[in-house]
Amino acid sequence: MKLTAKLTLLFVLLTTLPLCLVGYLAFVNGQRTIHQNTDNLLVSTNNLKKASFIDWIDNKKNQLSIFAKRPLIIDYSRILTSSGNEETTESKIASRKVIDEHFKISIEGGGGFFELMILRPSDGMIVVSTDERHKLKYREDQPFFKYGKKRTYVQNAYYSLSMEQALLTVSTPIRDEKGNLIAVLAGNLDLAEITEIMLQDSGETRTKETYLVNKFNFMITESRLMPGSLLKRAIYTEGAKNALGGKSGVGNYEDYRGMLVFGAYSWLPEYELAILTEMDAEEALEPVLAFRNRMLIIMFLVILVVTVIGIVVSRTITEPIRKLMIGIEEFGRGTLDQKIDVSSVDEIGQLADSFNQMAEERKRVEEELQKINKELEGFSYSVSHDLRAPLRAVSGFSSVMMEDYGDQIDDEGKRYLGLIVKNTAKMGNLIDDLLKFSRMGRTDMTLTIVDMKKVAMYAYNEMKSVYEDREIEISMNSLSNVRGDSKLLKQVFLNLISNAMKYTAGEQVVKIEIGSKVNQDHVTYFVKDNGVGFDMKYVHKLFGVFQRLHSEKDFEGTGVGLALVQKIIHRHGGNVWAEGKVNEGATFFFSLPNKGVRHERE
Amino acid sequence: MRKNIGIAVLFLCLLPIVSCSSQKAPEPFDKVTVQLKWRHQAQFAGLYVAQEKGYFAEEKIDIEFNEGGPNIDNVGEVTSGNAQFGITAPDHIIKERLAGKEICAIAVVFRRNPLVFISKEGSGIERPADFLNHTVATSKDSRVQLQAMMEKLGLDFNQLKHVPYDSTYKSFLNGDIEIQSRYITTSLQQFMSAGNKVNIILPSDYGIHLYADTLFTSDKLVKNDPDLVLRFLRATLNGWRYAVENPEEAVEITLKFARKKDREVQAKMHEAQLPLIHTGEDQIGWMKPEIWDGMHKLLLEYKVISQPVDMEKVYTTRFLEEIYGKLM
Repeated sequence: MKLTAKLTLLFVLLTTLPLCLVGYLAFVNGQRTIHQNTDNLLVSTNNLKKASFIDWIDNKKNQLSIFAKRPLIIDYSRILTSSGNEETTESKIASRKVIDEHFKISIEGGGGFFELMILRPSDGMIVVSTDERHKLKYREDQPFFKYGKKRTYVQNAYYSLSMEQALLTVSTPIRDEKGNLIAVLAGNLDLAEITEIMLQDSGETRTKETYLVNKFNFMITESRLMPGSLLKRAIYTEGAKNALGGKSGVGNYEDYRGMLVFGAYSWLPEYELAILTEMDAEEALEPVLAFRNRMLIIMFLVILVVTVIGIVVSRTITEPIRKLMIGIEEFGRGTLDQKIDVSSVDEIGQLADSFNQMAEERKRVEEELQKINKELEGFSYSVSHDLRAPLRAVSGFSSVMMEDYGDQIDDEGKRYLGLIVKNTAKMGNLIDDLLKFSRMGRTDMTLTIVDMKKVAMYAYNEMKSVYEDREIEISMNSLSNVRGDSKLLKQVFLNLISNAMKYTAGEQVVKIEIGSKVNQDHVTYFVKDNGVGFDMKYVHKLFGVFQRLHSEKDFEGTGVGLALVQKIIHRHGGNVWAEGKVNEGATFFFSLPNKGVRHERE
Repeated sequence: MRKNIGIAVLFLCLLPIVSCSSQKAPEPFDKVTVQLKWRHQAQFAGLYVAQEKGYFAEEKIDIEFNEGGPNIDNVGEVTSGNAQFGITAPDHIIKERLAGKEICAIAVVFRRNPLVFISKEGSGIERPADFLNHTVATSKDSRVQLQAMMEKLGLDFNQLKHVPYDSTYKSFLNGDIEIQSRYITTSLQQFMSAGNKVNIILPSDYGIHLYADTLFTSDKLVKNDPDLVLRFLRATLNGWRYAVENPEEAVEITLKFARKKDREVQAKMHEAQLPLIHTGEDQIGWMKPEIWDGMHKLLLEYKVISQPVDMEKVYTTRFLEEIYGKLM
């Protein structure tokens, strides 16, 4: 992972983790609070509605009890219930008076009974009713009649076929002074009124509702959320089951619509009704969900901003490092005259400054070294060049002396002269080699792809013609091509083969092996012989100028050849080394960089 | 990430269920035929709903409905084993029981009788007492109810002018028939919605309490496979419950079965029968001994049956109790 990515991620984590933690805690806390608040709200609503319902129904019961205790009503009832099936004038008057003087006000006043009636206790016949249509009908099978003979009774929620509506009936006995039952007084109440009580003041919410369920699981008030449920919908929810089981409490459950709700429930034993107040969990949790959504948006934005900032900040940190890195890479590749442009004043800026200083210093030293090297080469060139003129003079005059004054010199003198000529010739060779060597550092190289096999063959043939009296066994594998100066590389092979010929002077058959091996970034070539070899102890002296491991008497040569090889290879950016053992031959290696050359596999 | 874990966990949990259910051979379904009381119509909506909503399938029941008709012996179909369950009137069950048919009621769908008497609005005929000296037409089934109602009120049944029944409304409209028996669940609804105003006299307002459509089965099935009876009843009652709670959908489902593919007709019928099914008292299907005893007494009193029947054998509430729990 790159530093920029690492830093950015670090920034994001550092900022969002605490935010997440705080947000989560706030969310959980909010949720808990809302749960509690909702439960409290529902319980209090439920209790309030329960109280309202009980108030309302108690009020109706009281109203009915007061009617039942009015002496006039008792009197009229006596007349009405004792007159048989046939209406008499007396009963007609009584019936009219009961309605007009007592019931009518209550009915028309509204908010109370919509029908009041008096029933004959013997058979449940309605002897008088504010709704004329129901007069003379029988209610002998109805609980309100059966129980109403004994006490004030509430028959909750049933569907009356003859009235074609769902209703609730309250009944109470009418008794004389002695406590004898005279009639049953009953009043019908509209269930819509209870629905109203249940649903009023729920307007500020969308889904909160209170409803009543009878012991047969029927909903006896209208549903706010599913109209048409009155006495039609059977409720088997967890809340209804608990309430019908006589329990009170709160819960989280699926309601009759299959929606998850918060609910408070309670059982009204006196009326055998369950009262439930419920609210959709979705609505109850709305604030906390909104909070969560806001939190998520904020989190997203923060991550976005922090990521951008993180990238920018980490860029400002990593950009100088990147520049420094590139600079160092370039430096390593040998480009010295470049400056790392880092303007920051921090540690990295200092590092870059130090590096620039170091690079400058190195460059200065390098240049100085080159200058000195050049001077040195120029010096050795001019020395060897200048040495040639006097030497030619010595050699020339010695020859002239030999020709012109040979007869005047004795044999001993002639031998000396011969030695002078021979040694000047030798010195000439030495100077030639020296010149060649120093020129090597000055001539320009022409780089091409060199067919090494051809070059080696060429050099070998040239050498063979020099040593035509020798018997040679050469083995040459295919040699990898390489990029270099073909003339100089030919010189390398010439020198190495010549070297091999020289140090195999004592062998009957000269065995020379030439080969190459491709490595990852360079090719290694070698020239192996079966000559006298050398002691590895002195291997470091092999490539020095005028360094010789063997006496000149045993083996010819000036001691420049291998030095020249090293110089050429170094100029190509390669390396030379040798392996050998006394009397067991020597192998000379040189490696060259294989950049820009495609090698066929051997 | 958490969601993925959740899904993975869910998957792991489901795996044994899936593999289990795939290994288990499917339980065989019981083939059950119901002999309907009449032709396909909303009257049997609960059964159609139980079928369409898969309640029968849940109870491993493969259901089939046989239509009823004037020449079909509902009880005979059940005792012969052609059908396992039937729907008929409770008085019919009592009569057939007396005749030695081993059948018994298991639940009442119509806990209020849809039979009513109608007179023209403004005719002044609003109560049974007003029937005297007017022309009355009763169907065969309703004669006993009329007689019982009149006599309970101390009115002379013979003071009625009995005229032949006319299943159309022609004689009623032209005044030949002043009082006529009708079912509030059937053509009466259309007759009224066509603008005809009528007085409706309910026998139940005058002490006549009869159940109507009743589910029954053979004694043999109750004895040999009470579990099937229970499962069938549970699915049927669930169907009725759904039909009561979702009347529009119930009508929609009914239309798939009904002969008369008239939405209006079926909807009216369903609407009219709802108060007979869910009365606000007791659970759907519930039966009360006092009503059964009352019906029995009535049939004896009016000589519909010649001798008492063992009511213990006529109906059983054991399946209802098992489904709803014992209620008072």
